[in-house]
Amino acid sequence: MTLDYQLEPRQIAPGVWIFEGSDGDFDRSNGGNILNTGFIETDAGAVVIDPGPTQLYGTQMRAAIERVTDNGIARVYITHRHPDHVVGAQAFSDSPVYALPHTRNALEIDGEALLDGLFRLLGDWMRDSQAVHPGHEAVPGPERIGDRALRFIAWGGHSGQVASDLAILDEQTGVLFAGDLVFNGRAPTTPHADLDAWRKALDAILAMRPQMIVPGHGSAPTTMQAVEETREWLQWLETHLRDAAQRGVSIGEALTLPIDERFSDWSLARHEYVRSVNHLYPEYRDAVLHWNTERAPAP
Amino acid sequence: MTTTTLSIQAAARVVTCAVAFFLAPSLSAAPEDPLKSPSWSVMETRILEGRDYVFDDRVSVTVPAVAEDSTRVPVFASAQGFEAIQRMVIFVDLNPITSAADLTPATPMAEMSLGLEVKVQQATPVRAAVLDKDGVWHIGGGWVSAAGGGCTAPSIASARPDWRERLGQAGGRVWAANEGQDRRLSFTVRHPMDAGFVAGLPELYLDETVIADAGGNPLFTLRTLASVSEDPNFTLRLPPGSGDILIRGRDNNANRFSLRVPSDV
Repeated sequence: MTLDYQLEPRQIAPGVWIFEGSDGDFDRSNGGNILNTGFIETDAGAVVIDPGPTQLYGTQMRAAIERVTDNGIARVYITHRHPDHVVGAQAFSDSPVYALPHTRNALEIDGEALLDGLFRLLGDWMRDSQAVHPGHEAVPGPERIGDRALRFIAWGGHSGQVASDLAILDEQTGVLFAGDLVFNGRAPTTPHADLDAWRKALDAILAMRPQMIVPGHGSAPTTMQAVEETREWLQWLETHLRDAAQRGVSIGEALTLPIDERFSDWSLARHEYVRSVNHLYPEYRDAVLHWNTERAPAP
Repeated sequence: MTTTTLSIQAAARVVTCAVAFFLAPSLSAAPEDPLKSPSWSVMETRILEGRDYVFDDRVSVTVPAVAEDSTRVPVFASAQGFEAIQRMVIFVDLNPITSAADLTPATPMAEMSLGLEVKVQQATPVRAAVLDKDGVWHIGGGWVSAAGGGCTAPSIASARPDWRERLGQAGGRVWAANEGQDRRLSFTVRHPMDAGFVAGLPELYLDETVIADAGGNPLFTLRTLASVSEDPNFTLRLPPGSGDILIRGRDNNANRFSLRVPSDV
């Protein structure tokens, strides 16, 4: 069987295109096409944002881009360290690949290990996929690429504490590629999250008021409502888990606590909640204990 | 989970001794494992010490369907409606270190619970067995799917320069009984819980912890092995009572920790 992502670029604003993934989790039927990627056309070539989860995705994405524009590929940007956004960069190895220092450092340390998980989940879709080490540092601030003015913003929260998550604003159309800072109708993931920093980043997006937002996961494009909802989930998650810790609930019991009905129609709410208990609960639990040291030691 | 076993038990309580005697051999003739573990026969001798056992819905084990992190799989075991539980054992069938925790109350209890996190080496059943007054193990459990490698991974602590300074740090809290929840204790100990499967990192794990009341009278003895996660936390039901809780433990290298948990308000 020939594996095919059937990627169809969709123009959401003049010169701004996205590839919309499913709102599911990684599996062998979707090949990991569970995220939103895209590109911005310039007369110096396309600026590619998040080349996807596999070498195959990157290859098919590139072919789809080259059907739309004759200007080639100018640059590739990786928004953050998580492998579904990274691995497809292999298909763009003749173009400069950019990422924030935090992301480059994380991929230097964990790049190979992260691939193992994807091989297990995706099997043959991962054929020929290798670890990616972006060669160029993404620099926050405004930058003109060809005829297009872009703004690069380094926020924290989803994949680290500080300057871990790159967002890209197209000044002409007001489209913000928000990476995984914004989820839409799909529960946010928290493997490397700092919830305080994340909420601050969302507040900054709310203050910025972009015309349109491309969320990392979930239906795209979207509006400020998805930003507010992502923030509500994070706020609920922390409050709910800290409250459970205050009551002496064990981590295993916390897995089965109910999820607020505001999120009942979200994709993967229970799945991501259970993962988040694993990521967040030990710290919240240890924070309510009386320690035999001066203060609760850092985990 | 095991309605057959349950109905046999229920029957055994109400029928005559003669019938109970008649049923007894069928218990020792090994009930079928509802989790279909390939290594169940090993568990019979290694964990259950060859005693009779039943699979029993009164013993529940909460685990995630999929391990997010195979070095930290949350487990909550609860046994309710027994006469007098003498021991609760948490074990992981397909781990190289099968047993995780063995909790013995000084005075047998009708209800016990224990929450902790364990490492899993591959997809495996995780179980709790409680030894009731009848001398029979009552067993509950669930499957965890996992990427694997939890037991053979080095602890995070072993890569940190300050782990020796953290050794022995511990924190705890007691919650008074209130509606829907019995008096309980939760405590965390900073410890690498290294399994000794990584070259250059010897086995180093907490092996015995005694939980006592304010007068120093033991309430529980908790024996643990390196399949319990790093920086272990234990959350357990306490017998009714009041006052501070004293916890003293040691690891297999005779490093000790102690903790006085102030009485709840």
